[in-house]
Amino acid sequence: MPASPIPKRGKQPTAMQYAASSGASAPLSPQLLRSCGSSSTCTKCGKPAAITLPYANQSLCQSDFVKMFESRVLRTVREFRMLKKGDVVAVGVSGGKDSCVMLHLLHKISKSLPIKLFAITIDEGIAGYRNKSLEVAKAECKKLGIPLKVVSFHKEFGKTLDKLLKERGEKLSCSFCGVMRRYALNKIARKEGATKLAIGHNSDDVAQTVMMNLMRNEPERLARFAPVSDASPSRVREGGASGQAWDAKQGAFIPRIKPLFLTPERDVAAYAVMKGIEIEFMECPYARHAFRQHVRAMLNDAEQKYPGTKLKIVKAFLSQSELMQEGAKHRLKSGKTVQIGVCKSCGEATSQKICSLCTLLKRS
Amino acid sequence: MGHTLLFYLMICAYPACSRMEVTVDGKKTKATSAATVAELISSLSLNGEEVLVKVNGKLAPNGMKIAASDEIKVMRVIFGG
Repeated sequence: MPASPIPKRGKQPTAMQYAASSGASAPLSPQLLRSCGSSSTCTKCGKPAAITLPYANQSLCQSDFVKMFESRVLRTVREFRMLKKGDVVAVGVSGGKDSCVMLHLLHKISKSLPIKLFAITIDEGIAGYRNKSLEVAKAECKKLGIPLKVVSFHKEFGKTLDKLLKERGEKLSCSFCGVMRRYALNKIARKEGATKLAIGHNSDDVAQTVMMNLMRNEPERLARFAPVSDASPSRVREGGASGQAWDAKQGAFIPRIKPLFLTPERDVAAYAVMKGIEIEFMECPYARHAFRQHVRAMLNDAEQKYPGTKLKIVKAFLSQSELMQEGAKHRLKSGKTVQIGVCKSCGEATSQKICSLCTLLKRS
Repeated sequence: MGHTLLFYLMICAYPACSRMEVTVDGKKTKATSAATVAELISSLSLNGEEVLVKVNGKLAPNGMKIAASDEIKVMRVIFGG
């Protein structure tokens, strides 16, 4: 049996207890809601506040915010056992705020935990967008002394995303880009000897993913979704290495960790600004076509009216993820669910006979 | 006569008093005068969940009082990509 990423209740505080410790799940009475944001002093120390966190009904000064932010990420890493001594961590760095902040935090963690870091940046070939963030990624890696590997779609797949979308239509942009990016990240991480692949998914992304999977009626996919993506029983080959997750099939799938899993996106941006991480806040020109964009707007609208909504979705997901994984495991035994194997066409990790990339490219 | 002049001056001055200059995503714009950061975000029809506000170079909480003389920058920080 693989180790569950979610510790048993009662042994350790759960992820949402951590969130609660930062006030994330504090009950919001109508009175509190009215007072949200009314304070300009730090809830903790009384000094001038730098940011209001409506989801926590708090305003914090820069010092207390940074402390809270860093300790929340550190506890997420510990809670879900994302890192261990000796890990070689490939960090997916796009040059955006999430990945750059994650890089800084992992670099900080590496000072006390002996792990090796290197960064991978995928250049999809999006004119006027990626070249700018690529410069940011290079600058941040140089600042921290972390080696950077840049991989382009053009070199890896023979086409830039711009070119591919000219042929196939922009509406498929996120389908292509997501599949190709995951494929390239996994392949390069493995080639470079990584034992973990760190991805900058924040709690907003998590809430969006949960909602998207529900709205698309994809429970299997939702069951596989986790802070550490290799640890879900549905992803483990039956008869694999004892008690281990998918790395029994070493060489194909690099376990993905998401240190910002419980951290709201706006907090990440605030941390980047406070720490002087030089990021250009830019939107991908193809983002408007994405279903995720609509879900993001919907959730942010709800969050504004009912602070804490997004974290409550994450909380609900985590509280049910064990059950979903049990269900997936049951279906695995009865042969009714997919397992991760190797693509018959390209040899990369996949849960199907032919991986999504080969399917997409064949169609093109 | 004096009252009429005063009234005229008030009418003329009103639009200037009720507007404040802010920078949104690097572009200067005029916003309806607001007493706090939260009011400003609302008057710009922005979602507070998607923005950070700097007042005189420092990040500001929603409850911070602002004046037309302040240098105010609003940054949209939630994007797809």
